Amino acid sequence: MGTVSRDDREGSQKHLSTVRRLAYRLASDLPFLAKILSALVDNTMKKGNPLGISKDRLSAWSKGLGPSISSETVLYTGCEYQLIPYILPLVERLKGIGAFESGGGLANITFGLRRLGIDLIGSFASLRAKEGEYYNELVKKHFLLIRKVNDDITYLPDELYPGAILYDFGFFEDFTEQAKKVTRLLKEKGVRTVITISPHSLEMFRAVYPSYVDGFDVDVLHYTEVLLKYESKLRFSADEPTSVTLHDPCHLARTMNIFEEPRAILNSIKSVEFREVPYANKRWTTCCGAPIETLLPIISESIGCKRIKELEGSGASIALTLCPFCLANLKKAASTLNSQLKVMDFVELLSWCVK
Amino acid sequence: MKATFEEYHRRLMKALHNEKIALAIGRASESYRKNMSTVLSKYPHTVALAEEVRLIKERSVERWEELLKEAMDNIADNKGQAYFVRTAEEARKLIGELVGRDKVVVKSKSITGEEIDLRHYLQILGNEVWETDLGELMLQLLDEEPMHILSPAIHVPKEEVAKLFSNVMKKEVQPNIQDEVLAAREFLRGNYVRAQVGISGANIVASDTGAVFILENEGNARLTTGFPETHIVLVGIEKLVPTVSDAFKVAEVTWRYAQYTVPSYMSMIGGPSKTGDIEKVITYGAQGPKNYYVVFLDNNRSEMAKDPILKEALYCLRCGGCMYECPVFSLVGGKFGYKYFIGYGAAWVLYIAGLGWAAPIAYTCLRCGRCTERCPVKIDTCKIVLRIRNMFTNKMLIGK
Repeated sequence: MGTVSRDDREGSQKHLSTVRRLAYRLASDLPFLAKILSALVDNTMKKGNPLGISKDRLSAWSKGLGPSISSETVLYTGCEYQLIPYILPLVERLKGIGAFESGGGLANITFGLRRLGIDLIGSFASLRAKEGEYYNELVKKHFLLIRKVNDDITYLPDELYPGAILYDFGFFEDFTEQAKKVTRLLKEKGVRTVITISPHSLEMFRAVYPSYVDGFDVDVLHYTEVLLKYESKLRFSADEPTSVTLHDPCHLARTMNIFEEPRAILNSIKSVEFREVPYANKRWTTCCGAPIETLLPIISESIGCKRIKELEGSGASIALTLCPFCLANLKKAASTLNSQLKVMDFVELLSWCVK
Repeated sequence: MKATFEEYHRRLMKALHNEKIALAIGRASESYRKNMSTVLSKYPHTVALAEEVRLIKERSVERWEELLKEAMDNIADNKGQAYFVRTAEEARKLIGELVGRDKVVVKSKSITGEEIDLRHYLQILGNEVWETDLGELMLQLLDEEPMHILSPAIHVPKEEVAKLFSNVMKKEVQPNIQDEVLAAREFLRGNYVRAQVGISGANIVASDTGAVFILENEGNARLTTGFPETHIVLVGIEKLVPTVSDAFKVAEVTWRYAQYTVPSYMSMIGGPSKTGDIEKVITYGAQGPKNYYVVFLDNNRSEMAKDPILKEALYCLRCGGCMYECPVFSLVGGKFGYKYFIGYGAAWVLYIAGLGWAAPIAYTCLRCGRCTERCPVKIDTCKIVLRIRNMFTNKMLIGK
């Protein structure tokens, strides 16, 4: 569902002239939208990721693991968990521009953007060290957990962002370029299998790359698939009885059809009681709001709050999810609502419970 | 038609701050889901029928020109008059001529009518025009735009309805839904009798006979299409299907996904009213309308049909189910759109209003895909939205 293949695109080209004609009915509109998108995309193309963060910072999670071994199987982080601490203050500041969401004049917006959209780095001054550490730890937890079942796994210190944002925002040409770079990197390193931890990287590698990059022939797995496959090697048990629910990420459950795997793992954990969210679960899960956090931050947050209320309906004390963006948006919403529900990454629970 | 992100955004934010919208849609969604699970468990064959309907729609959109010609010929054979118009402006002009001036016009709910802004146009010509769908009537009196395709006034609570009706009808109407419905009924009765022209949309047109199908629950479309001397149908070319039996399949899936076991009414209209009861001489204009016109509208639908991805939006049955599943719609209702709503609607908006409106809508969509999960014909919103975003970025890059 939801992916545009190259054949579709070629068919579309034929029709593009009519569409262009329609497009040109508009001369000078939407400068604001264009600027926000440009900033995110230019960074990806020039610096390898949407916020232009250095490789050192993105690979800081692997500190203490020692040099990466040589292996055909890698954990590919997709840089996504590591970017969250930088996205959070950016969104806060975008929300701060009154003009953005409350309908002020165009001049205000342009001014606000000069301050923010282009000068993104300014936003990072407010980056909280603790948050950076938390998200880095999450990546490390994934790695250590997978290593328990497969000690042949390695990581790439000079990983590149797979380009989900380019694809999602409609920059297909830039995306193709980025996808080729990533594919080259994987080839150079002799990678045969990638294990992904974010639904977006999984979707890119498994569902999108094959129709954009010729000869992309890497096996793509989600880490829950790996854990389930080697279930017999793992024993999970909680130290005290805990009730949990699951927020299925849209791109994991609906797009990639992975929702039974995390449930099967949860059901194998001693002392953990799993409670399903009424109605809005599995393929009927509700979006956390994150996809529009940079363009429409206030609506994004409202959607997150609505989702927290749905998750509360499960009666569980912890809500788990398996996507860095869902995690961040739901954490923010839970704190806005002063919810009793604790939002955690799936891997946090597993790390606690693994024996 | 030009819009900026700013203007769209202002509408969105205004709706977000109107808590009544989220409350009303939240309640509606909950009961929609309950009703859907009841009707689907009672009529489980609907799911497979919906798959068949998807194929019917795919093939029909593919050969719309052929189906249109056949339908128009059949309508003429039935002593109706069929027209094909290319643009919204042509449609307004033609219908304006068919109606004339200083007439009383009753109208049943039509999204296509909204698309071309028909009511306002006819009013400017000096006609007295009344919406007869209760929700549409409320919006007409409030001078607001629809919030949902099936329940256009979903955001107006009964207290406001009472105030509104008391003002307009010049009598005290209690904030009690039964009383309000009765007041609207009494108010509209007189208009049906006075009206010379009735205007309706259509859910389906069967080419083999030229028969037009209209689904409804209130009974207003029956009166609108049956009482006045002239009936005008305005319908998009995407509503054409080959046969009457196809039409019944489309109809059943449409009402089922609109959460009904069966609607109160389905009208099938083949032509003007007629009788042969006196000496077997067929005479037109019996009890129903004497003049019957069907106006087929293109308004860039034929362009949409050429796009390998966006053409899916033409398969939409207008059941409205997707809207109850959309997280953005649940907060801002129809402001997430422009005449056509939510993510897939951006394809419609592109062709009727241009990229200036369509792009912000495409970038508002979460691409979460739950609408597609609900959609009986599985319109792939995620793909549609990506396609429109890509058009926008192409335009951005050209602009560099």
